[in-house]
Amino acid sequence: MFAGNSDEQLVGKALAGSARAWRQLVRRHEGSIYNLGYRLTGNREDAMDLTQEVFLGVCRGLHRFRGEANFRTWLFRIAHNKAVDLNRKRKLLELTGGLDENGEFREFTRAAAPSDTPAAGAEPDHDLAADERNRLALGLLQRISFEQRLVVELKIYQSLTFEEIARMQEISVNTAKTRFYTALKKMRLATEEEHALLEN
Amino acid sequence: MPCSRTEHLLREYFADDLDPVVRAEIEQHVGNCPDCAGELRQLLGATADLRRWRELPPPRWHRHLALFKRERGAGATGPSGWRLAWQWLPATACALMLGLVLLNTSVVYRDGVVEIGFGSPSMAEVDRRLAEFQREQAEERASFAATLARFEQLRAQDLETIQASYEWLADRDYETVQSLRQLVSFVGSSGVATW
Repeated sequence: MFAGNSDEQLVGKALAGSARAWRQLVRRHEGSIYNLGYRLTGNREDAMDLTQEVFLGVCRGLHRFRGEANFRTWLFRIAHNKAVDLNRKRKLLELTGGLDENGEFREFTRAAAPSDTPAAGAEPDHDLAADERNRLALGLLQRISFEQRLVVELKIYQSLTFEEIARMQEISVNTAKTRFYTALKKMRLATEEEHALLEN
Repeated sequence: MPCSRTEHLLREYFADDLDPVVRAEIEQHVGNCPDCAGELRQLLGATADLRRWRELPPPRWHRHLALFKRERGAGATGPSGWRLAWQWLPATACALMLGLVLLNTSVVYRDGVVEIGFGSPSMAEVDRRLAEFQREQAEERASFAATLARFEQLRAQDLETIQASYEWLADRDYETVQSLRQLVSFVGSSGVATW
């Protein structure tokens, strides 16, 4: 019914009280947010928690969306902030859980356990090659810090410019570029180490 | 010894709006520097691995609707537009029926008792009201006839009074004429004798 409507039109109708418009808005964007959450958190449960938190935030703040920015940009800004909040809460919760092997607090991501990967997931139509690609990406992402992962997410998957990333994270453009470069370098080093271990 | 320019050059390599001149310079350097070439290849490999992510469908969840209805309050409704307008039909029909009932309600005060009736009056009520109307009309007619009779009686009395007055006046006039005649005859007879 609302399939042909733009995001901004759907927001207007949802603000007028239309639950159908809201459902359409959620259906249109939940996949992107869920995948973002999965890549940032490394597991499906946290990804779903984040998705729900994001849409709760969107629902509560819908009246503040004035259409000046693109809805998707606004949505991903909320997702970014929610992810940062959840990571902060997770860190606080895990204070009692001790430190990781490097003496640092555990972050949002835990190693992508086999049960979290799509290969063992519930979807019956999973594609093993695609699952392997996701597993590889998650493996790389868990090698970097949460802040670096956010920059990689926004740059690689959301195709934001460094300027937009800097504005969203309230950092300088140079810092965003450095985080991205350092993240790629860390992932490369981790891959090299893995290869070296396998060869030995 | 690793190249000292690797970090600076490759950091800029991923910039969004890289100047073509700078890009050409970087590519020229990378073409001549095995350290930078190797590192760039591996960084590009990492980004390629990341880009091969397959989008996963999210699990089905319906809580967002409950969230929406809770957050948007009573104003949140499923359908919209013309379907929303249909929801007013029952309320409108109820209002119309209530109006009809109120319009057909009659409140009557009779003999110190207030009677409230709904709908049209019955035939017995119509007969009763007609009889009452006819009785009132008969009373008014009787009252009018009595008044008329009283006026007739007064008129007859007035006529009698007028008749009597006229006769009295006529009698007095006759007496006056007779007196004058006697006076004239008396004066005539005594005057002739004196002169």
